[in-house]
Amino acid sequence: MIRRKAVSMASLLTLSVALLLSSCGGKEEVVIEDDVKQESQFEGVTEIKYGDYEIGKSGGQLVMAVVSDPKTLNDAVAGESSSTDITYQLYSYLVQRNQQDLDWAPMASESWSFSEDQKTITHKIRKGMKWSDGTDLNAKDFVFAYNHVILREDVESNSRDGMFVNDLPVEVKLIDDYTLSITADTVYAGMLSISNVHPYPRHIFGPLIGWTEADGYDYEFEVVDGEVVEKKDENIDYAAINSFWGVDTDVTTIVGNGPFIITEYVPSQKAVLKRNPHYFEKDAKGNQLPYLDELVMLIVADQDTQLAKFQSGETNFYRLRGEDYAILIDKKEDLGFDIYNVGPVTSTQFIVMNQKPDATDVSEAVLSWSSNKQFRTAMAHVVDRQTIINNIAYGFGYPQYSFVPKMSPYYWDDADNKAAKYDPEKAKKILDELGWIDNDGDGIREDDKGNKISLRMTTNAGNRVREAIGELFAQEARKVGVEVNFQPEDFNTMVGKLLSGNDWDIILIGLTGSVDPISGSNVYRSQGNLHMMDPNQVEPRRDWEKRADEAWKVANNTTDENQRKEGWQTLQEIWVEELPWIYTFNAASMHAYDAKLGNIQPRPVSELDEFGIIQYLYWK
Amino acid sequence: MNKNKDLYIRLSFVADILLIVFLILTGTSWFLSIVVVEAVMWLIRLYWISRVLLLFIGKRLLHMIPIILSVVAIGFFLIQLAPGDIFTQMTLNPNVNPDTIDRYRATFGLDKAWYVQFFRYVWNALHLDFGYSINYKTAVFNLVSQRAGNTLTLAITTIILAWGLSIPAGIYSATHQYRIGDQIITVLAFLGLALPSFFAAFLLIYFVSSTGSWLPIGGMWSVDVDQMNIFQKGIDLLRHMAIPVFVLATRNMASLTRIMRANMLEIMSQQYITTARAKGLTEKTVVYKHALRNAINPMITIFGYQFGYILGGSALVEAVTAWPGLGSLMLQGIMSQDLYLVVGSLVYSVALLVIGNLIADILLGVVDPRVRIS
Repeated sequence: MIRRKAVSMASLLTLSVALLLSSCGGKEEVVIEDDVKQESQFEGVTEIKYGDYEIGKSGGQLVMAVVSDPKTLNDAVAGESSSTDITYQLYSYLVQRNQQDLDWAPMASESWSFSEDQKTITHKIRKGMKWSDGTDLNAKDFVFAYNHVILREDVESNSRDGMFVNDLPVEVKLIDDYTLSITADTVYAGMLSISNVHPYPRHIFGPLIGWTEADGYDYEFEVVDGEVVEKKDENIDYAAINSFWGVDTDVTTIVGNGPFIITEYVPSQKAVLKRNPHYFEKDAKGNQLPYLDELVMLIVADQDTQLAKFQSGETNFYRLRGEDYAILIDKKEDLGFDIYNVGPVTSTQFIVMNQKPDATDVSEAVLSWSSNKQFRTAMAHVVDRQTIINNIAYGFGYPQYSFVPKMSPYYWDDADNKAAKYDPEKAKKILDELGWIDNDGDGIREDDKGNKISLRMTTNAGNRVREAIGELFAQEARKVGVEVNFQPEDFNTMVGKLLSGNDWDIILIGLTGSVDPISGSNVYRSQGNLHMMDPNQVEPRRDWEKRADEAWKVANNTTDENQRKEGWQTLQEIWVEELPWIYTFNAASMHAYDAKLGNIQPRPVSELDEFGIIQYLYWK
Repeated sequence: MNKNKDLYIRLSFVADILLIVFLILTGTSWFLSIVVVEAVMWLIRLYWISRVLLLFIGKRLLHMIPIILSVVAIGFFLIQLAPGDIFTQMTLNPNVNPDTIDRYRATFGLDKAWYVQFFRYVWNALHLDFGYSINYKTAVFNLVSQRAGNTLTLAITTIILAWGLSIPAGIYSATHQYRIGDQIITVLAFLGLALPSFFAAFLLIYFVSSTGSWLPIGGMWSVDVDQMNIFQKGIDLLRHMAIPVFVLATRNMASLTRIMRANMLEIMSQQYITTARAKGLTEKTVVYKHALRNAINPMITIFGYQFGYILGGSALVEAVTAWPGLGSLMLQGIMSQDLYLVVGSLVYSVALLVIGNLIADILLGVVDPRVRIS
């Protein structure tokens, strides 16, 4: 009896001690390794050769994995990538950027021309195009798409706001069966971005909403009190488009003009797309595209399971995470695939300091530091991009100095040289010169009024990359005598603070980007709601903001490419000089393709990577 | 009078079949048609069998209404407390005008106070409009019914497995107390209680995949399920169900076995059991005819709760094993603050919980003659 008691006591004790020790994890410090191999980061990774597409042969099936189910199969209202991954394959646009030089290339539009005053672009639509159900396709379907789908406020479309120039919608007119024109209120550089639109089948959507040819193709509106008020027809119900072609639809009724059509969708399992026999595009020899017969998208929620499926040969394509490189690189020859470095992603990731003059819950001291350009420059010298890339992105990243993606024609090449680099000694020097030294020996400097230099920093909790960057920044800042208290918090709370400009000192955040930074009109202009250091300004408060707003106009109120490049360069120069925020890094996008696939020329822009080339992929 | 009653009851079964066929022909899923028709027809039959029971059920169903209403109100209130809403993600999209987001919020009533939203919802629900999922852009009712069938398949199989194994295990454990069989069952039970369900699912997936993938990992059907005949489809479904059902069942079995064992032990130590043995009854009769019937009472109450719990507890397991069920739908809705989806799922689970309790009470009345529905 006593022996039994002793044994049970001993085991209980051991168990509790084990539990105690294991829970004593504590907060992990980011360890900076000294022996990091930098030059072999991209070893074994194939560089992509951009050039003319090879002539391929038709046949075969491409199997890939996607992370979640689409929420809708209607491209008009698809809002996130799980839906657009599928719906993007079904349509072909007026114009599209080609992979080789990222210039706008004619697709459904055969050619275009600008008017004398540069405000109107006229497209000539290709003849002989058909929808996947055999119905003829012409300019009427495009004008219908603009005026009766995208511009209508009852349709929950993400593209609507992109169709506004100077807060007025563009005017899209049907000139004849194969010609349409788009007119903007002023000369606008984004006319081709606005032309990046695909048609909707008016023979299906028309009856759905109660529209007939007699109702016409125009979008009518009036401006009341500065607001655009749409003229609505009582009989037409645009809201019906929102729930049309949802996930429970019979997929064979979905009509498109793109390279593929959906033949099957099994929720949480897979989506199967087959070649669209009526797709208009042909290769250089006149062969019908796409080469692939079938595209199968398996829905696999867990990334590790996706990796397992790729290795077992169940899928032919895989998007690598940094940690997958080590696992896959040795198996290349055995399993028969290649890893391609597609390049730096277009999204931005930056550290912004609050400079809003009347921000509530932000101390005067913090505002005095953040509005001090020397201080911001010193903080820029504290961002250790290389360590971030090595430790967080497993070496697969590029330092970021500008909001323009590196591959974009508008990238200011000198940004790499002129931007502030990691230099803690310089940071210390700048702070010394400001007279902000540590008087009381606690390791933290005080400013000239005696305030301890201490700022709060936050980012959205749960994002491993951002949390690590924040920790590193706080560590490095401490080394130069600035106290940064880093505390990640809930995404929605953080966004609320960010947009109101109140109750935050430093935030680490990121935004999506694109090849043409014109999409950032809410970000870089002082009046924008996403001009995070001081949003929604009525008039630009700072001299450099006045210059930036001017540079924005120069870059975008013209269709002259050279003038645009000038404008963007000025804007990037201002950003590097004035440092309203500090960019950190871009992850490198790496894809693995089966070695027997040909014509692999992806670009890391969301609609141009593996999908931009999908009609040219073929099995050798 | 008696003869007529029996005749009516027998005839009503014909009506059953006719109604089921009719519903299937109009396009409802066979599962839903059977459930609805049977529920309605049995309520009708109760009128002849036992009016008292019908009254009891009627009262309980009426009780359900204030319960559901309060849960929904609490749901609206709590979601309001969480910072932001489903459109907050959109505000960081540089391509979207903030005015557009305000317009969306107004369309869905998200800019109104929680009680206003609540009354609007109740009013719509009376017209059988359970709201619109902003994420999926379809009616919540359709979404939930689509996924509910999948979760119920999992739930029913789990319940059959768990109860089918744990009752005998509990009895065996009690009758062979402290012997080697009991020790093994007890250890297994404690293990099952200690492991979190999703962790057990991960462990199992790892184990299966590293010993040659003899079971499919995740999902509900194989990729080529359409080429299979009905028999192969059944096998395919069972193979896919194996991991989630095993994980869910073992969790339940652990607690059920322990409780059953405790109940049995308590009963077996009673005086009347000793009397029965003294009277010369076989051990088998003593255990199965006398002890078991008393020990099973508390279990029936637990059975009522299981209905509601299986739905909630399966969310994590569904997420890990990629089972397309209601749990994962609810989880998604909560994470993205898809208001009407969350409230719709709440209504569904509360209804299920109440009905489960109702079934438990009726069963109790059937099993235990001392408890009569009054």
